[in-house]
Amino acid sequence: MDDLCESSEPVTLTDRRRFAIPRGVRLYGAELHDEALRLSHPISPTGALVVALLDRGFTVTEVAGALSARWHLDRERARRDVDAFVAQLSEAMLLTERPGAPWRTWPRGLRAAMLSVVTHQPPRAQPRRFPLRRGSPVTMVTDIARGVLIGLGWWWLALTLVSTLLVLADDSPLAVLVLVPALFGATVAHEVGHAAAVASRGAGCFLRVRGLAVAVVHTRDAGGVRVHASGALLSAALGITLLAIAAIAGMGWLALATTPFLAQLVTLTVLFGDGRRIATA
Amino acid sequence: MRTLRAGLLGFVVALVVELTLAAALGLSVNGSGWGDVRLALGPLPFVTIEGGEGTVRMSVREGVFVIALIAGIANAVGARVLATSPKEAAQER
Repeated sequence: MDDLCESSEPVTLTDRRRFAIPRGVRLYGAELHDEALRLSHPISPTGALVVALLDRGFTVTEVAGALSARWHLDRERARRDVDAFVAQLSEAMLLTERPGAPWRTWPRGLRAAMLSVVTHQPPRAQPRRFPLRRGSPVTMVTDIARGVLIGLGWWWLALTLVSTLLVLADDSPLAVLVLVPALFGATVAHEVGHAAAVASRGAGCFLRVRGLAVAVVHTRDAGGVRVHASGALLSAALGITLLAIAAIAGMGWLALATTPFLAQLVTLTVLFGDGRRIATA
Repeated sequence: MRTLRAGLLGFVVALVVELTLAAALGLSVNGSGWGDVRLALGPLPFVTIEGGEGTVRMSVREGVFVIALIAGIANAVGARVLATSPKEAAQER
C-alpha cells in the first residue's frame, strides 16, 4: 500500500479530507463489518484498498492520485469515483471524517458557508459516530453522555456562555444557569431511553451526532413504536419525578430544570423524527 | 385508525406538556418571588399562577385545552399526510 502511494504522481487536486474507520467498524479483507449493528458490508477489492489507505491517514486526493497512477486512470475520474465511494460509506457511518484543526479546516468551512448562500441550503454537517459498549446501564449512560458532550461541544460551550452573560449582564435569576445542564441531561436521558429499548430487544446500536441532531442508530428490525417512544417517555418520567421532588422540597430552580425534560414529549408528534415513525408504524 | 391514534397522541402530549410546564413555571415563580403570573394569548387565558406565603396556587384555564385540541388535530393531519406521502411509503417498504 505504501508503495502504491509513493508511486503516485504529484497531486494537483485539493480534496484534503482525511477519513478513518470508526470504532465499532472493522475491515476484514473485502468486507466492512459493523460490530454495533452486527452487519457485514461486502465491498470490492479496490474499495477495500481505498478504505485501508484512507484509514492510514492519506487524503482523498492522495488516494485518488494513487489509484489513477496504479491503473492509469484519468485522475479526475478517479477522484470522482473515490469521492462518491467515500460519500456512500460516510452516509452509512462506515467511514468518518477525521476532525482537523480549526486553523487548517477553516478555508473549507468558508467555502461551504459561501456555497450554502448560493444554493440556499444549509451546509451539510459531517456525522460523527460514537460506539455504545454493551454492559451495565451505567456504561450505556456514560457512553451516551460522552457522545452528547463531545459531539455537541461547541453548542454546550455557547449556551453556557450565553446563560452566564445573561446572569451577569442582566438581572436574570441564577436559576437560568441550571438550564444548560438540564438540557444536556434531558438529551442524554432521551437517547438512553432509545438505546435501552433497543438493547432490551437484543439488538445493537450506536450514537450518531450530525450538526445539532443526535440519534441512536439501529437496524430497522430492532425498531418499533416502543423504541421510538421510549426516549421521550424516559425523559418525561425523569422530569415528572424531579418536578415532584421540587414541589415537596420547594426548590424553584429544580422546577425550572425539569422543563427541558418535560418538553421532550413534543418529539412524539409528527414535527419530529420519532413522532413521524410512530405515526407511520 | 392511524389518524385517530395520532390525533389522540397529539392531544395527550400537548396537554401533559402544558400542564407539567405550567406546574414547573409555577414552582419556579414561587421560588423566585416574582409574584403573580398570568399566561394568555390575547383573550385566551392559559394559566394563572398566584404565589403566597409559602404556597402557590395554579389555575388551568380553557386555553390549555384549546391548544391541546389544536395540537391533536394538527398531529392527526400530519400523520394523514405522511401516510399518503410516496416517500414515506417507499421507506416503509
